[in-house]
Amino acid sequence: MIKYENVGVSFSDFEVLKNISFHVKKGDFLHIVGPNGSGKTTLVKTLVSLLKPTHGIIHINTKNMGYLPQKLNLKNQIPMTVQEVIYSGFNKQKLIPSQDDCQLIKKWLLKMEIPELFNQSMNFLSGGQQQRVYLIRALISNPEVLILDEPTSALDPSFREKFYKLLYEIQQEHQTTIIHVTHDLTDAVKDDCKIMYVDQTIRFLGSYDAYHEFEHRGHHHV
Amino acid sequence: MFELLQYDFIINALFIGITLALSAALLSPYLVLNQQAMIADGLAHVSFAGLVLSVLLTNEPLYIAIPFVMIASLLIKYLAATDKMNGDAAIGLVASVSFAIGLILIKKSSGFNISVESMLVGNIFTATRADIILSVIVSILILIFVFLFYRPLFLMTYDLNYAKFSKVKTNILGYGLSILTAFFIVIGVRTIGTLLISALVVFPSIISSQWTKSFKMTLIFGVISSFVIVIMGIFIAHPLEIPVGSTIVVLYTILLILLLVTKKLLRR
Repeated sequence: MIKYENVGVSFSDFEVLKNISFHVKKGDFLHIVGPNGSGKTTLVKTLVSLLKPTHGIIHINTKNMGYLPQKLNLKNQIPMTVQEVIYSGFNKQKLIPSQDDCQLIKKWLLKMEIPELFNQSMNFLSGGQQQRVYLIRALISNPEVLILDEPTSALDPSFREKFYKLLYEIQQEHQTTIIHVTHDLTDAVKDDCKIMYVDQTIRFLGSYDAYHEFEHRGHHHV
Repeated sequence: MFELLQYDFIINALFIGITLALSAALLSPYLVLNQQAMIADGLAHVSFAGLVLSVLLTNEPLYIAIPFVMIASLLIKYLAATDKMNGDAAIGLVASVSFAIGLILIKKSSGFNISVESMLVGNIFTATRADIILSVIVSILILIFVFLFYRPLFLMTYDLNYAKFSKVKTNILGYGLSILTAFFIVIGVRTIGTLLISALVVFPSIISSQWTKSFKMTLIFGVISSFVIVIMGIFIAHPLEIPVGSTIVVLYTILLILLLVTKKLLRR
């Protein structure tokens, strides 16, 4: 589904990522971890075509992708409702959303435990509520590949657990490939997921059990 | 008030005023809410030079001015898209260079018979048939553009990166928006004036975003408030013999103050 062959990204003389090679199969759940400034978000930007790699080849076998950026580009002075923002994540958009489209949005708001926000202005929402709205925007078109860059940073711990449960349900139900960048693997991992540790290059890629071993060795060996 | 409607120049002024109000209000949220409000002001300065050049070379104000301002708008967009300077700097650079060239041309040309003041302030009551036709054309083009690309333009306005990720042709739409803004500004400068045409673009979104919570309603209320203010401006300015552009700006300011005060009182 996704294949990276020797991908590197440089800004001027500074090499942010080098020799990145991996592949992700349909239905995989990959967690990307690494220290601050390790290139995780740069890697995500190459995945969602916001950044062209300086060298190497990226193959992505689908056009139906969902994406939650790390920094939400919120401009507080823009009047827009929750419904308008979520509708902008639909693959096919009309001038006026249909009844079915509105129902689907309401269904997702209910899943995310914010059903009352349908017609609410985005500017009046808390950071956590806004993040849930942008999550729905990423999920609403049933993407084949879902890319989440620190999706739970503004969510409260009680909802975080439910959120990961929901993600695993989506993965099981639709065979969605999920790539998840995080600082905190608590609540996020299940036995069959993969972990990638990035620090300029891939230092580790494997199962969660193997990652434990890697951690104990102090991140020094691949 | 109604007896004024028997005069052709009032009807013409209303016609051109309403079409300009529609164009400005439709462009407004995509420029103002995307921190590009100053592009209208910059292009107005560019169109000053365009109109001067046009009159000198062809004796017809719009022939050269329209392509001149369109090219300038594309240049601003291009300069802002490169990493060399930000959008504000690009607007300031192109606008001041154009305005300076316009003033030099006026000073050094013997054949220029239009007063600088009339170009700065404009006169909606002397609008020609060509002005009206072009104003209708530009408003129809902007209306079609906004109807066709309402959703992608909205996404570009609030989240450019997500628009790029969603494969929205952000460059093409951005250039389209710039060209239509340039077209609108050239027509507007002749009637509302170089100094105040940008107010027509800036105010609708600021006014409507004070009391609407959705983007769609911001657009709709912007168009309505724009119609009301421009028509009132024409009817008030003519008997008082004051410039229409200035009257419109003062009316918009009064409305904005009233809205802000009402909002503050309602929150108590």
